[in-house]
Amino acid sequence: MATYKGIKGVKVVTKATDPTASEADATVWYNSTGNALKYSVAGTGAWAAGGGLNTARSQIPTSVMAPSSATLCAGGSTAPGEVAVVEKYDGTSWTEVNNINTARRNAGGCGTVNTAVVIAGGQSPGVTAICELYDGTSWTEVNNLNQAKTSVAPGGAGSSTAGLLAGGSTPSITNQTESWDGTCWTELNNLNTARQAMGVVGTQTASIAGGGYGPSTYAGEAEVWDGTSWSEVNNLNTARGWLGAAGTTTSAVGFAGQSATSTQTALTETWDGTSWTEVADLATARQSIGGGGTTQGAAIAVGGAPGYLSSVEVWSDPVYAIKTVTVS
Amino acid sequence: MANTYCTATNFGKGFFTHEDRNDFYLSGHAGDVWVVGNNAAGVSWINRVSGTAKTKAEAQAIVDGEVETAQAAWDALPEAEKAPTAGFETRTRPVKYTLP
Repeated sequence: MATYKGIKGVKVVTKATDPTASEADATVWYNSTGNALKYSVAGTGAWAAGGGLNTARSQIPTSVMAPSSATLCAGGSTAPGEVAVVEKYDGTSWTEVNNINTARRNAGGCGTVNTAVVIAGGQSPGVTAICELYDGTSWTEVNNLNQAKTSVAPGGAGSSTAGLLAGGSTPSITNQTESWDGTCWTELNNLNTARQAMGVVGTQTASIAGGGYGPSTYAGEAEVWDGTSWSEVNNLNTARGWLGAAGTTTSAVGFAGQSATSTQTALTETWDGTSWTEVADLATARQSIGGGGTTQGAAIAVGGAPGYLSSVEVWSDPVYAIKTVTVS
Repeated sequence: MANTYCTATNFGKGFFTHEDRNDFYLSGHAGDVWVVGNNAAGVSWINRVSGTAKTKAEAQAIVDGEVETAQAAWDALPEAEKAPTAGFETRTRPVKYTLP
């Protein structure tokens, strides 16, 4: 008869309390308190509820390079208009911090929770080129983008000192790419397909941009940036704009958004460097969200529409679970 | 019956977990309406979040009411705000839909 030691090379360990499911992945142990044989497995990715925003809103720029457990949500829109409210997330709840100087929606965001740039955006009274730098306490206006634009990705790629912004609307839909060196913006090679409201993740030298809205239709196209130019890769399964994204150029996740058939969707797709695969849905269909995360396995979807949502969902992939061996 | 229905207030982190999402179907709708997979884990979740059980018709009526409220708010907007604006996402009059 095969034994656990014979297969794994170690004995089943006795523990008074269970380890965390992720620590115990693919192991078996005996829980002496509950007199139960247990094991941990890595299940499929899923969305869970996160702490709700204090100010419900949509069209939110967030810090895409921040992890889902420590991110920043700056500006956006709520009835009756654009807001300057900024909130920080600590993995459990949101705390209001100093406002951005210029209220706006559909801006872009680079950086992390304490070192971020909010880029351009706005709709009413107009589209702006204004950029503001966050030092963890307050916001300072820095050099403008070369071209005023809005409906850029909710999170731009890169950091507060090395950022990248692609596409958007001037309000004509554009394929422009601009890079940020911490001081000024420089125009680089354009996207192959002009779009606004894409999901963009990665760094200034390696990023992926997917989805969006072209001049007259929702886009499924995805393009990869190598630091010099954009190359087309496989399309998303569902063309949509105003979506969120997290991860890197070789391992990413895109979620939510607005498509031709749904004003808001709950769809989630993962990117493995070659193709997109549809995975588990959000609990609440939404678009115009704030969203980001540093890895494919840990993303955050913040607020959005319909209306102005305060609810937040957090993506984890894989989801570890502890199971009990039952013997009958 | 594949799904069951309740109302429950989303209190934030822990309201539904990653494990919950792998154990039963869950979707959220206007009016704090939740459509929940009808299995033991789903029923346990409704109890855990102090959900109030609803029939499908009751849940549908709540969502319909919320949509009607949103439609009235949309109808009251100035025409200029309802018109599609180049360069911005489509905001359309909310429409009723059938819960799964």
